[in-house]
Parts: sequence; structure tokens; C-alpha cells
Amino acid sequence: MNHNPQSSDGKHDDDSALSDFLASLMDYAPTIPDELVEHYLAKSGFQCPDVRLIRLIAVATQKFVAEVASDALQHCKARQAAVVKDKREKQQKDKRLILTMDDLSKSLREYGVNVKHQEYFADSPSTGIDPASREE
Amino acid sequence: MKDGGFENKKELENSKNQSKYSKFYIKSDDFALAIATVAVAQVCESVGFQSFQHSALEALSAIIVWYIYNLGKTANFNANLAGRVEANVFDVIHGLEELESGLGFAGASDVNRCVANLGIVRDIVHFVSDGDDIPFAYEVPWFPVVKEWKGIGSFWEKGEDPHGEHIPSWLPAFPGPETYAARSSVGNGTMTASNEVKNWLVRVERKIERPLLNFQQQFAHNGNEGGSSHVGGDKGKAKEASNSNPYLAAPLHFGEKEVHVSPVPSG
Repeated sequence: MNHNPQSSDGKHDDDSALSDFLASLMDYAPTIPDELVEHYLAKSGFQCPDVRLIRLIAVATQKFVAEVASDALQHCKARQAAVVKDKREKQQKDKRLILTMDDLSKSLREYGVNVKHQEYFADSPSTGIDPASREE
Repeated sequence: MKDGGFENKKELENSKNQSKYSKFYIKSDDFALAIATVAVAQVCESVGFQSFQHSALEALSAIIVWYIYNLGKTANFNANLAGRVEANVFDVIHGLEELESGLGFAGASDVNRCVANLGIVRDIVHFVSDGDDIPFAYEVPWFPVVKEWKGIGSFWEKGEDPHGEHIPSWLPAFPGPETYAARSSVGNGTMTASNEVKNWLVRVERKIERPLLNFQQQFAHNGNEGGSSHVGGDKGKAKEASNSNPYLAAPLHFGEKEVHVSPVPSG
């Protein structure tokens, strides 16, 4: 069979690519610290002395957060663009990009995570006003 | 305007339900959750956000904590399924596939392809190579800090002879004689006939209280608070213990507090 030597070479290249990538992770500093990742992995029962795997999980988590945040950012920008531009003041105020629960829940829904925010807390006069105009 | 106490009760129940919903909202995990919040805020800032709602930030940090936990659990499960105790990179990659199963498996249907060429791994490689790395803002110490627990010590460790053949030497040694022998009481002032009974009762009380207090202090020092860095005599520890725990406070001297004297039955 002619496929065997080719596939074995291909697999060898892939293996070396994977090991090179894992080695390069040691030079990369993920935003999520190794200590935090190790703490929760230890809680879950994960055992591995290899630090590269910890880095891989940290990078994967950071990528997940970045994707969710960028989706939420798209939702935020789309919402601001849809607002009727009545006054210039309102436009300037809306330029600030705020991570809100509405945008977050919309972006997380695509990843299968259902986050439902309570409709309102009836304890302040600004209840029910558009979230862009009320900053926290 | 508050609608009596009913609305507050509802909010209280809602907040309780919210705290029960996420199993990571435990007081002991506050430190790790705070670190996760800072990391998430840094990532969101790098993406382009300028401000956050507190609730959104907390929700996202709880979700990534859940993500890490679940990934570790899945990788461990995959390793155990293969008959291994320690997970390897392939277990982690399969765990990543499971978590992102809702988005599809790019390249997973190809039998001849190595797992390193899967869409998920490729995406991570692109993510690492494209963006600049943003290190965490603070220096994180190793946590949780594990305290050294010093036991009382067995008979064999202490070199003591257990009192009797029925007591094995590997059992913890008995507490010292100061915990059950009464100390000599100090007499204060002149004693009248009516005070004699009072003094005797107070001395009996002290006899019982002081050894018990000594034993409690010793147990608290050896058993519960096994801090290896703490250096000090018994008096210092007693003071520290009394500051924190009122039940371990030093006993009162005679006359400091009025004690009710119950009549002694005749005969």
C-alpha cells in the first residue's frame, strides 16, 4: 500500500508540530495565571506533572474568553449603531463600550451557556432605562 | 419606596437561589475567583471593551472557572478510560472537542489526519501566534497554602511507656499531668468563717476549670492550629487563644467576679 509511508511521514510531521507548539507555549505568557488553572484542575482531579499542558489549558481558556468577549463586542456595536442618532451628545456618550449582561448572554448562547439576567431590580428610579445610558 | 417586607424577601430568596445555583460561589474560593475576575477583565480590555458591568464580569469569571474545571474533569475521565492515571495532551484535546462540540468538529471526521491538525488545535496555534501575550497584572502566590498539622504524637514517638499492655504504643499519648493535676491556689487576704465555704467552693471550681483550660489550650496548640511558623511559649499562645476565643480565656481570680454560692445540703 502506497499510503503507509506517506501517512507515517505526515503523522511524524504532525507529532513534531504538536510537540513544537507545546514547547513554544513555555515562551508565551497567558493572561490566566498557571496557579489559577492548576488550582481548579486539582479540584477536578486532573493529574499531570507537565507544565505545558497547564499552559495549553490556560491558552484554550483565554481563547474562549476572547471569543466570547469579541462576540459580545459585536453585539454591543450593533446595538449602538441601531440607536437613532437624535443628538450629538447621545452619540458621544454611546461611544464608550461597556460589557453588559445582555450582550454577554447573547454571545454565550451560541456556546451553549444560558445566562439569564434578572429582568429588573425595582429599587432605583433608573430601572428599565436602556443599559447604554446607565453606567456602573 | 419599599413595599413592606415582601419585596425584600423575594430579592433575598432570589439572591440565595443565585448563590446556590453556582457551586463555585463558596467563601473559601473567593481568592481564586478574584484572580479569575482580574484575568477576564484584562482579556476583555484587550478585545476592546472600556468598561464592565459588575454582574457581567462576575458571570464571565464564574463561567471560565467552570470551563477550566470541566476541561480538567473531562481530560481526567478520558485518561481513566484509557487506563491511565495521568492525563496527556490527547486527553486534553478530546476534552476541548467535547466542550466546543456545539460549534462542530473541524477535521475530526478524517481518519488519517493526526489530532494535531484538528480545527481546535489549529485555532489555538493561530491564537497564540497572532496576538501579543498579555501577562497577568499581579504576582500570584502558590495557593492554597497547606498548613502543617502537628499531631499530639504517639507513645512510641514520644518515647513514653503506655500505661498497661492493653494500650498499643502507636496510639496518641495521654495529655500531660498539668491537664489533670490541680495547681496550688494562692490565698488572698483574711478568711472569715462565712467566707470559708465560699473559698472552698471557688477552689473546687478552679480545680476543675484550670486543668480543663490547660488541656483545651494544649489541644488547640497541637491539634487544630498546627502553624509551623508560629514560635512562642504556652503563655503567649494562651494569650493569643484568649484573644480569639473567649472560652480559652484565662480563669478569673478570686473576687474578680461574683459567683452565686449554692447552699450545701446537710448530711
